[in-house]
Order: sequence, then C-alpha cells, then structure tokens
Amino acid sequence: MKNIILAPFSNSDIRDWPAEHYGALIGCLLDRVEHDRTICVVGTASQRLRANDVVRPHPADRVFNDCGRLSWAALVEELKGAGCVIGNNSGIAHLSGSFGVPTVCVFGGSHQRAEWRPLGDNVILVSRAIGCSPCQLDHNSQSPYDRACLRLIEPAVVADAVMLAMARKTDRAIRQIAGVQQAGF
Amino acid sequence: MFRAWFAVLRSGGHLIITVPHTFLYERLLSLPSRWNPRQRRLYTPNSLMAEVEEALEANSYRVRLLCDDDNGYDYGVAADHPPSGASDILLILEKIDRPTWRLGPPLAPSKIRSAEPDYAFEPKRTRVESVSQPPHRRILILKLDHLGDFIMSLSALEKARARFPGAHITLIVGSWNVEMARNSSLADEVIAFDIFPRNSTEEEVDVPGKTALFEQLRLGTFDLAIDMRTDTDTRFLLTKVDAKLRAGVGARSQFPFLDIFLPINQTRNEAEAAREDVLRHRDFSWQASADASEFRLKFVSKTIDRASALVWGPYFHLRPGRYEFEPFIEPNRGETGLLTLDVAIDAKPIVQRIISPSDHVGKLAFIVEKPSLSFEFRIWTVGDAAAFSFSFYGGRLIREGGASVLHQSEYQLLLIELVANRLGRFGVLGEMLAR
Repeated sequence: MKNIILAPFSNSDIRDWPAEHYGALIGCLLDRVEHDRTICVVGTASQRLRANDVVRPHPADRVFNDCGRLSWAALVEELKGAGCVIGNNSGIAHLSGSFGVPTVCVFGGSHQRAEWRPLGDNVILVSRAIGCSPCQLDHNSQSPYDRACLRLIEPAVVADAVMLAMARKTDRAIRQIAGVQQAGF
Repeated sequence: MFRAWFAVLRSGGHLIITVPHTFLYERLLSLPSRWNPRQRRLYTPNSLMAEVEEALEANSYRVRLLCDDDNGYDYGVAADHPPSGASDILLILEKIDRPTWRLGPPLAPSKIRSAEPDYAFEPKRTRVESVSQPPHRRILILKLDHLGDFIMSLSALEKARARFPGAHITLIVGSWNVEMARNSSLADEVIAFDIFPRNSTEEEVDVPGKTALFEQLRLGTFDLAIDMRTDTDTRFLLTKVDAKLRAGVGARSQFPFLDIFLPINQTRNEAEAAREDVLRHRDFSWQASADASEFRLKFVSKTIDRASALVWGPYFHLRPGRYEFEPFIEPNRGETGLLTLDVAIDAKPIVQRIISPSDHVGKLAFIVEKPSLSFEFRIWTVGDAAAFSFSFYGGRLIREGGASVLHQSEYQLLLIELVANRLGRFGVLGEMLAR
C-alpha cells in the first residue's frame, strides 16, 4: 500500500498550515485509510524538530518523521509512488502535482491561488475565502490575524479532500481500464 | 514504547535505556542482525537520541548521560564472531516538570486582531477546489476589425485550429475579410458582420449602435467564445453570445464576464516618445571661479580652477530606463582648448566626451539599470590642455517613453495559447466542496 506523504513546511512560514493541524490530519487519516498505509512527514534536516511535534502523538509503526533522511532523488521517487501528497503552497505540492500524483494543497491567503496554485489534473486545492487575501506577507509574525487563512481550515476538511483525491485516482484508473473517457471531475 | 515507559515516571525519576550499539554489537550498517534475528533496529547514539526526541515532548526530560559502554569489549574478535564484553549504548533520562513556557516560532505576532475581515463577495468559508477540462467542441471567434488586423490574426487562427483539432469553429469577420477567411480554411463557418465601417474616415464608428444587429445573427450556442480584438471596444459583444466560457484580452475588473482573460501591460498605450526634464544651471553646483547670473554660469578660461570640476550635480535619483542628457553649453568660438563632459551614475562615470569650442556638444546617452541611482553631469578640464571660455545654461534630460508593447500578432497568439492551456493542460478551477 502506498504511503501518504505530508510536507508541512515551506520556506515561508506564513504559507504553512499550522503544524498542529497537520498532526490532527494524521489522526483523521489513520482512522480512515487502510491500516497498511503509512504516513511520512518529509522535509529538510532543519525541519526535523518541528516534524517531531507532528508525528509524536501517533503510532510509530505507521507514522514516520523522514525529515532530513531522504536524499532529493529518493524524495522524488517517494513522491512519484505516493498514494497522496499533502503540502502547502510550496515546492513539494508543485512537484507531486506535476507527477499526476493525488495532491492536496492547503493554500494560504498570502498569494493568489489562481496565480500560484500547483498544476495537475489530480490536485485539490483547499483554501479559505477571506477578505485580507492576498496579503503578500512572508512571515507569520507579520500577519495581523495570526494566519486566519490557514488556521481556520479544519483538518477534517483536508482529510475529506485527501480521501477524495485518492478515490478519484482509483476511479480514473478503473475508467482507463474500462476505456471510458474521463471529462472533468 | 519510550512514551509508555516515560509516562509511568514521576518528576525527578530516571529512565535508563540500553540498546546494542550497531558499531560494536551487530557490526553492520543495515539489518538483519547477525546475532539476534528479532533485532528490528540498528542504533547509534545519534539514532537513539533522534527516536527519543521524536517520542518525548521537548523540555519534559533532560539527558543526564549518553555514552558508549564498551567495558571489557574485545576489539580483536573478528566481525563474523559474536562480540565479547559490553557493546551497548547507555542513555539516562530524568523526567522534569515542564516549564510554563513553550517552544514556539522565533517571533511571536506582536498584535493579533480578533476577527479576520470578511471576503466581500462570498461568505467566509473553506473552499475545496479542483480543475476540470471543459468541453470545447463548438467555438466562436470574433475578429471584427479591418484587413490588416485580420492578416495579423492569421497565425493565431492557425494556432486555434491546431490546438482545438476536433472543434467546430465559427469565425465572424467584417464583410471585407470574408473571402480571405473562407479561403484560409481556418474556420468551419465564416459569418460576415460589419460592426466597424470599412473606412473609418468616410463613416462614423458606432460600435454600440450595431449591437441590436449583432444580436439578430442568431448564432446558436457555443462552448467557448473568443474576441480576438486587442482593443477593448468589441469585448461587450461576448455578453450577447450564448457561450459557456468567454475569453479575450483585458482585465477581469474591466470585463467581469470574461472567464479567461489575458491582462496586458497597461503601458501599452503610454507615450512611446521620450519625456523631457529641463534642468536649469542652478540645479547644478559650480566652482567659485564662475560668474553666476540668473540665466547662466560664465567661465573664463584664464580664471578656471583646474584642480576641481567646473560644474557638477544635480544628484537626481532616476528611475531605470534609457536616458540622454543634452547640456546647454555655449563656447567662446574665438578661443582654442578642450573640456571634458561626463555623466556619472552613483559617482561612477559611464559616458564621457571631450569637446573643443568648434564641436557640436550633442547628447550624452546612458542607461540607468537599477532604481534610485544618483545622476550627475560634470564638466572638467582635460589634463594639461588649455580650457576655453564658455557659458553653461543647464541642460535637457530625456527619458525614453515607458510603453512596453508586443506585436498585435503576439497578443493574439498569447490569447489563443492561454485559452488552449486553460482548457487543456492547466484546467479551469472549480469548487468541489465548501465548508
């Protein structure tokens, strides 16, 4: 069974869905996905301490902190083979989206999603309609609303999107096998 | 497992952990273990601590001891024999009371407002969106302008045919372009409609006045309608077409009915010509030898101080762009001698000219590549050469116009490429769920 990969950290913290939400998302997914699916958190070695907080509450045999453990080439291979990738408005979501891998991008309000969203026909974008977007800020500390655009996105909604993305992938595979033309979602 | 063990400790209690050291016990870099088939992990002090940090909350414990235990270890035993002596890692953790403070981001938000602002056009909510590739089997293209405009659109029409190979394309053109449009085979159906007069000098242009006639065309329904005209005066016609998607050049704020829009640089209609700033002599600085009047600085060759510049300044900060500076200098043509003129940007000379009294001074051309650089024009004497008398009245600073234009063909090619990408590869973003 393919991994679910989480990339919770971008290079600009105002774009990061809060780490505690990622942790809660893992809890939601563990309840809903097959028991032989594992969940990996990826990132750089310097993000490892923060990732510890994300994985800590969850069973160590199903949830792994792989921050700093994978070479870039190994990470790319992991992404290509993933069951679903969940990330922010950042490079990993763009990469997995371009591979056609089911990708859920939790997109903050700092930038226009129409301009910066990851491309791919199996990308699902989760964002918040909010009046202060786009603020074009770089740091969470600058946000006058404590990143409400991301903070108010609930883990259960993202979990729904993950299940939807993985189901669409399966549905498309079945349709392809059956030779049915797929148009739209 | 660390968490379970740790949970039963009281504050001040110790957790003592020993695990086989892979460098001493297994003497392997990967599993399986030679000596213990049930061994599931290989440990070094580093990997053991990584697991502890992952399992236990920061500041819930302190590390009191972490060391290799090789007491009595026989380093002479070959790797394919079981080790003798201690071959472990020893780790002792002390549980502590957690401090009241928590680890957090480097900078805490200084002032958080209580409620985020509403999104004016929609209720606050979480959107879940995905892309779809809308059908585009029936396409309407408007190209209503004149002969030259149509010719400049041919490459874009060819691209449309190529990018929408299975589509039925209806093309509406001015009656003067119908024959060429039909001969081009770039559309399946060509319809004539004259919203502009053939010759605008002979007949008044009244685009809105032709709206009712356009509506009488009874065009049917389309998946996609594209207005290929770059100027915006025909864009409203798309609202008179029964189409699922509408595309054209312009800003969304200007044409809210456009589903796919190519916003083009607003400098398109800015002046192509240069802009001028006339600088007076008083905008500059000058050496004391000059005779300054309301209109000019007069320098007499015999009194010029050769040790310094004669004129310098005005240290204006210029925007990036192409510039020319034309100094207004009137030499005493009855004398001989030389002077150096130069332009310096941030004190660095970038263009220089040496003139004699009989020379036409002309313009000094230069480029400012970065914003906020200081512009300076200077007049100097030349080495040991004699200077000549002259009057300086200031000069004219000329900046090239800011218009950034593409060719009409390029705008239209970009529009078709944008539409094709949006309908195909990139898809149209649409909502799946809302919370």
